Amino acid sequence: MPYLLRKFLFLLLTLWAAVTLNFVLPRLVPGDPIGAMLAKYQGKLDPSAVDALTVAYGLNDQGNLLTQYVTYLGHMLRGDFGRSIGQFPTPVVDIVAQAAPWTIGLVGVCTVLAFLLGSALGLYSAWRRGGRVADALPPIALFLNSMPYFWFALLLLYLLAFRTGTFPLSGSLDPFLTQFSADWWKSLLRHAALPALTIVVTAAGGWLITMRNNVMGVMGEDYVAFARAKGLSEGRLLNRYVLRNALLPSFTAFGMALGFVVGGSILTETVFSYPGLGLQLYNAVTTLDYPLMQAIFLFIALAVLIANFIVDALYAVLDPRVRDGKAG
Amino acid sequence: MKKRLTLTAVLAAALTVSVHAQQPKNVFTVVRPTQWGAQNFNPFAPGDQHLLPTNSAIYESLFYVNTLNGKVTPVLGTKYTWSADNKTLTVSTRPGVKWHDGSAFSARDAAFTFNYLKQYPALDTSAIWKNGLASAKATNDTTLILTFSKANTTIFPYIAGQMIVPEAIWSKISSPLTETNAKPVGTGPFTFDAYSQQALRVLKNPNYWMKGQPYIDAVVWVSTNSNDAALLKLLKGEADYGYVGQADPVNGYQKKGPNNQFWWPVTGDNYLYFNTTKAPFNDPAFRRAISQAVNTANVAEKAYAGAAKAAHSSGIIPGQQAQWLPAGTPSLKYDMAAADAALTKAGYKKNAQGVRLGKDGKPLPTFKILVGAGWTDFITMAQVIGGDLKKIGLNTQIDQQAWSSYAGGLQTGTFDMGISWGWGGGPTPYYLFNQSFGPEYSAPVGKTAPSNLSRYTNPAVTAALTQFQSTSDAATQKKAMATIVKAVMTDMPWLPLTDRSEFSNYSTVRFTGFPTAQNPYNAGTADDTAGARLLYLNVKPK
Repeated sequence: MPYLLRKFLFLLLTLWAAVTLNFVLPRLVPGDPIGAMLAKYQGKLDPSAVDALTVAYGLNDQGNLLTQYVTYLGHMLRGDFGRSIGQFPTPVVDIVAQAAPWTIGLVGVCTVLAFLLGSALGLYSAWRRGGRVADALPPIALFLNSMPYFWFALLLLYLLAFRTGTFPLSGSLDPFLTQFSADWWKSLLRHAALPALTIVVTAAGGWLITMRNNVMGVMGEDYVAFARAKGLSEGRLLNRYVLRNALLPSFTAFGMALGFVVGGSILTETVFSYPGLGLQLYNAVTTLDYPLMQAIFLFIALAVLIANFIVDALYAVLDPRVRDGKAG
Repeated sequence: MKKRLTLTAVLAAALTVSVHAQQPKNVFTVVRPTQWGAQNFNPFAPGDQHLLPTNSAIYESLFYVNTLNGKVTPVLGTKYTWSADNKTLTVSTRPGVKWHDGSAFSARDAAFTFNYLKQYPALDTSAIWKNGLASAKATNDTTLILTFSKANTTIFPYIAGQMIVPEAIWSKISSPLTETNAKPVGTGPFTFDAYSQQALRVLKNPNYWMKGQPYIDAVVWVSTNSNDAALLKLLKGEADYGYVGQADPVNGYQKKGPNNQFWWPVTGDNYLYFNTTKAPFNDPAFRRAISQAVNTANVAEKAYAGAAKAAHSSGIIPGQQAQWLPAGTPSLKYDMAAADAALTKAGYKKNAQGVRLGKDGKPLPTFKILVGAGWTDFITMAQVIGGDLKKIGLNTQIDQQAWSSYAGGLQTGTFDMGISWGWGGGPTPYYLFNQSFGPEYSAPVGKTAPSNLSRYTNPAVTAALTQFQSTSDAATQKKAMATIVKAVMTDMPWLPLTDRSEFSNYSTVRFTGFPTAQNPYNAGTADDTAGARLLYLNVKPK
């Protein structure tokens, strides 16, 4: 299928560009990791350590830029992202593997929840336009959606964790629980509650507005008027004529949103000290931990590109014009 | 790669928390204002890249040298002697000590550890071999002999502080640099028990060589990601100890509970560094004059609300002054008029508008004061300094830089003036002066200088440093120190601004036996150091 092949080649090209940018950018940033580390310990690390650290981090003999680039590409192909500088000598892959489930579990589930909840409410709001609840929803959604994310998180933290103590202040689990026991699951859910609420509440508003606009657009189409004139039942009209057509544009955006899940939510994770990729990325940036930064950026790029590719492929299935190569 | 990241494997790896049947009784809880990394107990890993219990609870060194007063406490070593030419150090090691796995510790393990550093230079983060160690041998089970290529008595704290590892285990490890040592075997008072991103736990070592100690059954470290969050845990009684910086420990912690206490001994200073490679900062007369124009008492008051005092202009911390500051050395006195006159006399006249001119008769440019972005204490200091310098006709501007540019700027010499802490330090002022003004810690502008930020060297200082280093005679060392202090206070390559302290905060609700000003058995340092080991050994349940 030339269309899909073209899209796939484009995926590879973008990926190469992302990898190359990843290589170039850290080298343009001022400061070096050893200096940053000496400074971080504020005089508590002996300055004589510089030589030893340079050897330890493999920064002593790197060859010229071209050699470095070729070595770097070779390592990437083998899935070797090197060792973290901030958490030396742990391999970057291990850190990512440890943080990823927390992020995917929290942000992934919340993205799906926000999409379902927002879209359902958007559909309701459009379909029952004129009703009191239906008309109150869009302004609330707009308000929640435009609210600064971390401000809402801090508000929740203050009211529900600090003042009432209903939820924990930070972290993802209570320490020293037996894994997968009832207490363990309870602790897991209690810790996830506030960050999840933050993500769902602020994201659902956007989906609501999008869905509402889509449904209204479709409802204005001639074929809907025609179907209604034929006397079709409300349920049939909603399912067969409105929902399917209204969902398509939302679905594209949803695919993109899923792609961004891997990057995690830096704000949510740092506010709640939730040990996911967002928090790791934040820490990596503050400690000039290039290998870790590079790996996380690459995973984000990869996830977005793959999500894009899947959306493209789905379009080919759904839209015959695209499949035949006449459009897109 | 693909195999490694399959979701189930990833889930299993991430959610693993060891299972525990028994819960320890007297648990001492330490709260951390930062997160920690992966499960790594490699005592050779630099800085705090190993987990917190590694150097404080699991591994032990030969001696503990208190940086406040230089006092030496025996640990695995019982006594040490320098030979007459100061080139041989003989250390007696403690008999009857067992590793956590039950095997016996001996001087051979200590010799192995030092030779291991030679074999893998990347592990030698205090540069012991680079600074003259020539051989390390155990002559019997309790005697370690270290010989040096040159007399170097100031290396002792580094030798004393090196964590000792068992030969039987580490001789089999071929890549010690990347070893994470997940099941550490040390001689320390506690053994590793549980790790997760939220909490760490060590349990009392029942076979520890100190009879009756430790008094507690376990130490638990809890992570948070800010000073505020950590302080909250202390205030709520969820932690017994926390190394947490605060603007005002008296009102912020002490007054909020009858059992809340803090001990913040001074272990360093903050300095205004002058870039001595740049005119007019390359002129000692200019540096001395503008140093005199800065009211450091006011700087300390504005920046720390009384929690820190103005520094002595020698740069020597209070705990070491009685012993090392030449008798009767006054601190540089704040005197605006004298500073103004001194500048004019040195060739920096004022024009009709009151603007200070350079030696070439052109107005001096606006000088930048480099500080870290958002560091309120340093920004306040820069504001006060700028206000004082304005009065003698000098214009300044605060240059806030993000972490990497701040550190990079100081180290590569691209700044005019910069505020930072002492880059180096130890149990005597020698370490600070050596690392701050030693030629080997400097570098040409544009290259990274490890710690000589002012890029100031002086043959008289360098010679005195060498003299101090090569003798174990206190009187000779004192004479050398006097030379250094005199030169530095004349040339003023930096202006010592305010004291810096450690941030030990603790609650006496459940435990007693914390270090205090009356009983400073450790230096109040952070919870992952050899000093913290003494804390965990001495706290007692009430």
